[in-house]
Amino acid sequence: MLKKIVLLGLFILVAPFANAQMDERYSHLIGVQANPLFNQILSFGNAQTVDNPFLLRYSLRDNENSVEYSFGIGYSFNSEKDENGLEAINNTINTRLGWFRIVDLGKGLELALGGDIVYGTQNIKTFNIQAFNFGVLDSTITTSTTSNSSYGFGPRIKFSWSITSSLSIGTESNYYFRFINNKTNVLTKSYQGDGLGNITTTTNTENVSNTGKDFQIDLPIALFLILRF
Amino acid sequence: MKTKSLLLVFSIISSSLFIISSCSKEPDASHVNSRTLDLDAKYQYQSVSAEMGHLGRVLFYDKSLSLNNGVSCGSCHLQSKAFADNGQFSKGFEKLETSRNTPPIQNLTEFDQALFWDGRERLLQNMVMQPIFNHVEMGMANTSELTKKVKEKKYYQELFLRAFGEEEITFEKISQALSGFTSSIVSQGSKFDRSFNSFVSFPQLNLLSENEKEGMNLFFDKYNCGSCHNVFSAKGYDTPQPITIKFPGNSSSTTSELVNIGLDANYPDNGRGSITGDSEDNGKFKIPNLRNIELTAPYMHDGRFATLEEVIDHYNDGIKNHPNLDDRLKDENGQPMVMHISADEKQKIIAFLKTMTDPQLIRDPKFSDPFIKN
Repeated sequence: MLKKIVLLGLFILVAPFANAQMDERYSHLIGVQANPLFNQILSFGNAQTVDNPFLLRYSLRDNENSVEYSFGIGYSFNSEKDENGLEAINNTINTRLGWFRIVDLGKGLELALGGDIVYGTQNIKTFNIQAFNFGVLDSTITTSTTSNSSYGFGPRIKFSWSITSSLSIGTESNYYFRFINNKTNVLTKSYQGDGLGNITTTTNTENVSNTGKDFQIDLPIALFLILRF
Repeated sequence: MKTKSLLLVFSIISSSLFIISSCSKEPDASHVNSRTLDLDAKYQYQSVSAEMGHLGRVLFYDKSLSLNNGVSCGSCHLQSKAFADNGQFSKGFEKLETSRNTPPIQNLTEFDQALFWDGRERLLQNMVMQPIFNHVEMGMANTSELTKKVKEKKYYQELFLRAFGEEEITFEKISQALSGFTSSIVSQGSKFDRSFNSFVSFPQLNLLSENEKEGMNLFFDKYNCGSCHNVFSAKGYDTPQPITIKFPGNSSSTTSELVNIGLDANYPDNGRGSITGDSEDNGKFKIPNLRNIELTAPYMHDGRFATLEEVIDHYNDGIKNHPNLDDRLKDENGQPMVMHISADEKQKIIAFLKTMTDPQLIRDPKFSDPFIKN
């Protein structure tokens, strides 16, 4: 939620600097994902979850040739701890670069067809302690670190409508194919008693790595406010 | 002006992202739960011996069965919620969300039933191990790592000895004990079951109030809900005969334990269709058992409905057209049915559904967490 507020704040900050300069060859477009704002305004109620991770996007448009070069980024941070002491910290970054052909549909409606290359990383750290005492001590401290990275490509289609010459609302659908690398390291320290007052400490490190492939479709659920200048 | 604006925009964006990404913190070790474990098998179980049931119970609640010792089967399958939980999705060992709503565990048999929302498994002994190796749920890498971790816990030597007559710990034995415990989770103590069901030893007729009986009549007669939800069967639906199971590459028809109820015109999650690869299976999910439905909100495979009222609203006038929409939910023109359920009828149907809440199940100590917090 915090990140969406920050991004929305950014949008409001940059709005006064926007000037419509459609007669120039190049224009700049900045978009922010604005579903929470629309939910608040329109009270969508049981709104569908938005999976599109690219919260902020910038595009350079070549008005003469009706093409657009696009960059998108999304960042999320989450820290959570449950009642049993399991704590998890999750940092996720997604980026993409793309190229589009713009089709003017008239009446302010616009279609953009193109594709992206995508790259993302996710780092998750968990920490927890289990302590048993059933006659003898048996405690375990576990720290796990997972690093996921993914890269891929895929087509994207954007649809937007101009509210004013410098402000549009848009949505998109994409279909990305990604290669995924996953590495997890688990460090476990165990303290086990023998009932006679002696405690044995053991440290165990486990590394798990695997690779995979993934197809993901993002339906046109994410709504973007787009500023053009 | 334009260049200045652009520079300003990017400065603000960069600074904000930097600030956000700097908001990290290190874990702290202040929260420690010390627990004790009673090794003695005190309770009788329906499907297995007391010792086997107890071993299965310990395994079910033991967080050591996850990669980072962070979660157990019981972390998502809460006894107080009829072994479901109240989240739209559950959170696994790294607090990442699962892709589907956690179904309750009750009245499962060892063989011959659709398991998971997409029915991809039919043997309980296989099903119980799948979340342990799921990369979101419990994250274990392979069977040998799991067996090794269980062997490292000294209390299991005694528990396996008592359950199997020998200390040797194997993957198959872990699976057998877990499925023995889960198949013993039987719900038959609800008002509805005590009133009507033949599998209850001494049915007490007419426990239902007039309101609940009217709801029952609406459920079975006027709105035909019982054609899918056969609540007279312990597992909550009828197993079609003969059962034909469909796997990728097999062209035979799919079991009717899984149906499309018109939740979406296009399903983001195709359920059974994503298993078989057959478009005729798209949007089909397992018919859930309605026992303890009061406790297992939110509802549907994706937990989209928060209340029973919302579920009935869907059947009333929210069914979407889909090529695989079940015939029982179509009108005479083949269109999605609009049922015209009144507010009063809705309230009565819900009153009837709540008669299927089993207070014994959610309090029975033999199904509770044996790792007792100090």
